[in-house]
Amino acid sequence: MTKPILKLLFVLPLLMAPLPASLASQAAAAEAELSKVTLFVEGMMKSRGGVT
Amino acid sequence: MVAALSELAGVDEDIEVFLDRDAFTLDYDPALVNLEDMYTAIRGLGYEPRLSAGEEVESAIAEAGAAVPEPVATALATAKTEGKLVFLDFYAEWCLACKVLEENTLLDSAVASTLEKLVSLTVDTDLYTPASLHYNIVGMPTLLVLDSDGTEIYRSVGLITPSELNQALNDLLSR
Repeated sequence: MTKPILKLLFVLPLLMAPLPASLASQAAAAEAELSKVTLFVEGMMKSRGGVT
Repeated sequence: MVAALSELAGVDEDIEVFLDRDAFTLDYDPALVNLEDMYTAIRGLGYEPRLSAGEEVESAIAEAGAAVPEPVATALATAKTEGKLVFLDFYAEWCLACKVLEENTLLDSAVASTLEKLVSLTVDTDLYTPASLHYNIVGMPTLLVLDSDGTEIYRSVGLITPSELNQALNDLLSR
């Protein structure tokens, strides 16, 4: 009865090992789809005392 | 405005505001929004997407009229002599997007090799504000290609992949 459980306990970490790498690559892929830009907005801070 | 642009960009709280420079950096999903949409949203909020300059710089620009400011004027003179195109990279030391572009695209070996065929110049928007205003730099990084007469024939604002930029440059070189 204990043998299958022991086997599972042994195998489970092996099965889960690729998971972080997979999640990391998915996150990287999601990030790669985003672009980045710096925009100038004239008088953004001065005219209205803040932007938020 | 930050909240409105963040929502427009399809991201949450990925905007970094540079209070002293009237500028902000944001991540955005190009599938959801483009730069024109953002410019329209900024105008809709009562602002103008434009590089801020002091009165002194503005009056100097007005006096200069249509004359091309330095350092671009010198690069254009070189380009005319050598029969080359001019490649301008408008950036700033504090521009996060510019650093990403440099690392991912401009330092790419194929791109760097292609750029050797042009007169290449980096233009710091802090140091050369008149040149930045002359070419209507609203966002960074902005890449421009000018022909030897100074006519703008290519503009890219924001990030671009090495293959896209290389293709665009080679298309311009083969004209």
